[in-house]
Amino acid sequence: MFGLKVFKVTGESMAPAIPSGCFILSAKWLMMLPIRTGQRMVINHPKYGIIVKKVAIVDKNGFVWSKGENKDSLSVEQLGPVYKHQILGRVIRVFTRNTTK
Amino acid sequence: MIFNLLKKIDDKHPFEQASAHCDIPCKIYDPITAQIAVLTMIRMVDLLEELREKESFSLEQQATFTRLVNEKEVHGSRVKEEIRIIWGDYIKQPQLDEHNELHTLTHEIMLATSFAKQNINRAATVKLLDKVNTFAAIFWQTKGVSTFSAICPYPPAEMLIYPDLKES
Repeated sequence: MFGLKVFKVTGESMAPAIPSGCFILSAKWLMMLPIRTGQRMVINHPKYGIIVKKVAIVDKNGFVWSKGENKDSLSVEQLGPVYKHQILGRVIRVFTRNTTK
Repeated sequence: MIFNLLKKIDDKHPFEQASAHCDIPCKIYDPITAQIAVLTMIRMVDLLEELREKESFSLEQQATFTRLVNEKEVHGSRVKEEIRIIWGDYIKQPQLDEHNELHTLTHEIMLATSFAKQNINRAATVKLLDKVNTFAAIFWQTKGVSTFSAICPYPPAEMLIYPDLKES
């Protein structure tokens, strides 16, 4: 609906910003806008399945390289580049247990 | 509020999951899988030794023989893989500084496993178990968990290093 989708997050590689067990709202229509470093994306990764990661860099060929938010994550090199069309949406809201909004 | 609402919806109609996993199984390392794999190898050797005494094999015994050899091979590969994962993914410089024998020990386990796979040799397989037990003891030391040795309560009834998790 409206290009919005809710995902449940498992794993700690995006903690503390996106802790395990929380819910995230992603927007696919935001993918029309240019992708910038630091944005959090839900990616349909060819090797790791549906993952949530932060954009490390967008290279000159338009590939998106991603990473986790802490040292326990897979590295940028391990995750490798993905095409823009493999990105399911940009994370626009995180709902954790303590969010009152 | 919204979290609780989403959680209720999720309980009834689970949302798709997005993984933020580390190395996919994150930080779950335990040498017990390698230890049990060696026990299986020893058990297979024992059962193969029983077959050795027979002069000729019936069709069923041939099938059993093939299965035993196969399981010994499979579990040998498992020992190597499990040890390699702990060595390659878990062991880092601080553990190496404290236990500088780790590289040599890991390499010895690889060689000893190959030897145990190539031969039907109980003594060699028990020697492999010793090495894997030593590896397990070091692993638990790096975690600050004390260990104890006990005979496993099933065949082949060999000595195993177990973590004493109640203590720590």
